[in-house]
Amino acid sequence: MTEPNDWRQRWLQHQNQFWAALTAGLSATANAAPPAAEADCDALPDDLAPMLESATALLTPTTLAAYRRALHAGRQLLDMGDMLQTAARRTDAAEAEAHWRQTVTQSLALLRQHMPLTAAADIWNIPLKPPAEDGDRSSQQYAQRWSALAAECAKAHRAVLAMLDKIHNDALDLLGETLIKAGAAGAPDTLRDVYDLWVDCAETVYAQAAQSAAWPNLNADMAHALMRLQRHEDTLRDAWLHAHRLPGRRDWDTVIKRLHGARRDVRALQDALGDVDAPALRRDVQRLQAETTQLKTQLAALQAALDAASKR
Amino acid sequence: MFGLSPDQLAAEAAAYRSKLAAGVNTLAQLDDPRAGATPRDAVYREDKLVLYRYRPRVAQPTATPVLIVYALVNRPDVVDLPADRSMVRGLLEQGMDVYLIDWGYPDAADRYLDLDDYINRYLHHCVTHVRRAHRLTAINLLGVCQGGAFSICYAALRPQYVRNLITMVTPVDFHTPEDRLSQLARAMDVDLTVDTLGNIPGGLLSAAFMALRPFQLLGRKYVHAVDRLDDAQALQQFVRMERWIADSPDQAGEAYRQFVKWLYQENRLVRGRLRIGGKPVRLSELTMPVLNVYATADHLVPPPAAAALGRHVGSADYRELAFPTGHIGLYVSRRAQATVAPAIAAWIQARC
Repeated sequence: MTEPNDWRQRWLQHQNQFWAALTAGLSATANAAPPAAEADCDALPDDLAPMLESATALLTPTTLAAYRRALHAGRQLLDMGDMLQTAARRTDAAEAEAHWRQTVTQSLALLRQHMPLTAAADIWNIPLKPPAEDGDRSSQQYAQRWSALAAECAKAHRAVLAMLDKIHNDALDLLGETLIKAGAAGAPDTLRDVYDLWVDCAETVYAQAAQSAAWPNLNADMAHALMRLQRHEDTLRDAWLHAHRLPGRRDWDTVIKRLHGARRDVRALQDALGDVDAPALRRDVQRLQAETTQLKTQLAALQAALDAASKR
Repeated sequence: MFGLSPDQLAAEAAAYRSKLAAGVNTLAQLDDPRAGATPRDAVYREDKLVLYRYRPRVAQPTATPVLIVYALVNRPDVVDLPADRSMVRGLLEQGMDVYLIDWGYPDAADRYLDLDDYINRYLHHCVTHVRRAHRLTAINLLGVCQGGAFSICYAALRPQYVRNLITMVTPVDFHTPEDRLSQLARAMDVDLTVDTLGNIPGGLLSAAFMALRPFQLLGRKYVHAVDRLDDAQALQQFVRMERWIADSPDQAGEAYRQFVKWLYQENRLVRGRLRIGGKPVRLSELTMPVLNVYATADHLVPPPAAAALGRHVGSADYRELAFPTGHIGLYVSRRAQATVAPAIAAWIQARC
């Protein structure tokens, strides 16, 4: 077996510390009073905060934010679990059903509040870096156009995220309906089961959205906006290259197109040569050789006749 | 009962953590995750294309070999995973003589390769090579996914060279209602895309495929993968598939433009309006025996998109085989391999 290298040792140590802190944090939170609804999402238990701070050496701020959200979401799941267990212990059937329904609804409201899909925007962002202006007119025009195209990208991106947010909320609605329908006795036993149920609901809702006309169009709008922005940026790159007497995209494209045409011609010629039927060609050559021999014989006969005539 | 107690959560978290910890050591034990286990020889090369012949596993293989035509998207290695999952090996063990086209990785110099190049040049040259090597008039053509569409076009354009045609998870009608990929493709301005990007980055296509089932493919798959982190064999298979998924060649710009525009957007194949290299592609020209294999849970090529072939072929010998699995599962799952390769081989051998 390969000995662990430094990277793996660091990673193992790090994830061990993280999970130890996370589970300790969850237990501590579970035993304490439930956090107020307006609690600061970033407020962490004392023992976890230093751990997360030290983790910044390995984690990006985006990943760290996601961890923080996951921790907070874990707390909400614990609250939800407490409520659901209380509901499940009700003995009166009618009362239990009403309480179960209320509990599921409240739990999902908590999830909706603390696990918004807009968190995805933190991870799935479009990095757009504005161009530097050097003050001349063409540079200003370029920057203005760039800003307009970047605004189109941002608008299209927001539209896609809004649709994802709707899908996320609809998925939670479906999850709630499924849990209520299952009743306390039929509800999932583990967090993994809850997660799997949520994925199933999300895929169902997503499939319905994907079948709509809106979803492909929103995705296409975003892709097209990005393409237009890239084309605009390409014009600047090409201008810079030409200013330095270097070939730009169009020049390369011309060369590649000619190369492709030349390759196609060569292949066509090779195919034509390969298609020549060698035995037939040999027969043609033999026939021509025979004709040539015959013609030579006739020519020799004529020459002989001519010589004979001249002697006479 | 709903058991999300703190103890339950802590136990689940601890189990998850121990799996992750075990995974570090298991990952270190893994072999090279590349696929391609069966011995093979490169027998023909043209530009970036390589034609491989797998070494037969029986003394007297079936006289008419089978040429596998894989898609341009992703690598063809997936048809030759380790022994118990290798479709190629399954065919070899059934006595077939198997060839495979590897299209290679297109780069900027291949920007103007179009469908005419791929079908009438590369594919035709491979068919010609195999025919001449075996002194045959016609061979068996087995097309997978997009490679199946190429094989259909080739067989329709040059039916005299195709003895039997087998299509696997091959889209034919690109406008069936459940086809999410088609709906995304139809909304795209493909001219703007190709004119901007030139070749289409493989990563872009991978992202589009992920977007068809994002919660499953970007979330649950990896959450559940942790369960396998202490099982070297299962993890090896997982990593191998992940590597294959991420190994996505760029697409030659013109071929991509034509494929998306002509097939996905205009559905020319079933409408009888497709022309490759200036010649019409008529499905009625498919008069050779045709076997159409598809997966009933395929989210990339819905069963109706593949089954449409049966309504258009001119062959009197047309058969369908539907397997209860997904698009990839049809040629990588252990269970499928126990049935798919033998079924294909038996169908071919009955016609050779």
